Amino acid sequence: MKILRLVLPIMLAVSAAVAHAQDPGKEVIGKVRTELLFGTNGPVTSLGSGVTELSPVEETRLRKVSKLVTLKNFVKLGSVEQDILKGYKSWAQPIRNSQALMVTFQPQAAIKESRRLRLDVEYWQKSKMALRWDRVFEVGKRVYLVGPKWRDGNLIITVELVSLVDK
Amino acid sequence: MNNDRKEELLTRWMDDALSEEELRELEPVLAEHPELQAERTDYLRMREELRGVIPAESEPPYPDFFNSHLERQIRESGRSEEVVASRRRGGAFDRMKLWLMAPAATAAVVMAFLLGMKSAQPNFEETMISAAPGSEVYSPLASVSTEVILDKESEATLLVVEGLDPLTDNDLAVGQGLLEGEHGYFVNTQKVY
Repeated sequence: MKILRLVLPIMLAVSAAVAHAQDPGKEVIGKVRTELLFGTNGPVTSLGSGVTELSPVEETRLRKVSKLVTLKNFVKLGSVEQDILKGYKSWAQPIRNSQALMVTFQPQAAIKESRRLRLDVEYWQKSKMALRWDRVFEVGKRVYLVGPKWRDGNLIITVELVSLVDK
Repeated sequence: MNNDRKEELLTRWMDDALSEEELRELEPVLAEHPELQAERTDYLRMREELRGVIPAESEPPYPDFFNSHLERQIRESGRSEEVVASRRRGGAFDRMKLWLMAPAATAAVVMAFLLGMKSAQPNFEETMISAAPGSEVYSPLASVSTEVILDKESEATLLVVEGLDPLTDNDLAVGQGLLEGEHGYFVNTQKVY
């Protein structure tokens, strides 16, 4: 029995490794970060201890959008970093315990350039796909999706290609 | 001529790979089965169509996954062909037909793969709402419109979306503490491709 307790975890780990090795779709080809920002004229203190203020540079960038130009405060509500798998669609959930706002990523082409990848990005709101965006993402260049209203302000979802595996 | 030799010659005849001597050797079989000419014509036509569709040098996306998927499809079609063949009453002609079906089956799998690649893009009614160079935006919701703004200074892209339903506090469950971390999941899309 003792031997079984020792051997069984090892056998399970080996099986999992073999199964993973046999599935080429599970190869990690990069990492994506999704963040949820909030722009508001109201106080941010009621949002909880997990929120962080944005940098002035990023605030300036967001105020270039006409519907955000009058907003006084911008904060980050949530963030998640996720692997991009070769043959899988990744679902990112920037707000823990909430599936009302989700983003999916699916690579659309083999990596040809070291810092660029074509991704099919979907924005899902309350279990419905609201938008699909097919574009080439570049490492380090953030993309903003100025989304739905919430309270007295606007939610903004950011997608950033953090890194790509060297090819 | 034994059956193995006959099958070998027929397969190579389909690909125009016979020498003159081999062609003369095969002539009696072709005379006995005139329908083989029509099958060869169909096969050559399909081959040319495929060559027109598939670029000469184009690496398919995810070549490892493509190869393993193709091998599985061939194995499965091979198994189903064996079952069909074993039910037939013998005969060299039936076996010949199986040899001829092999390249046709391979071509069909490749065509299905290419069609599957195209159909991986959604077919439901979408409208291209707006486009910036190198990107396309679609929405299935009639109320949604978008505008793409390129910030040249920072090289950031902003996609402004109008017409989305507002969210409530219940939707976001805000106030539950620190939100950083790994909270997402993955869905296998292998069957799509």
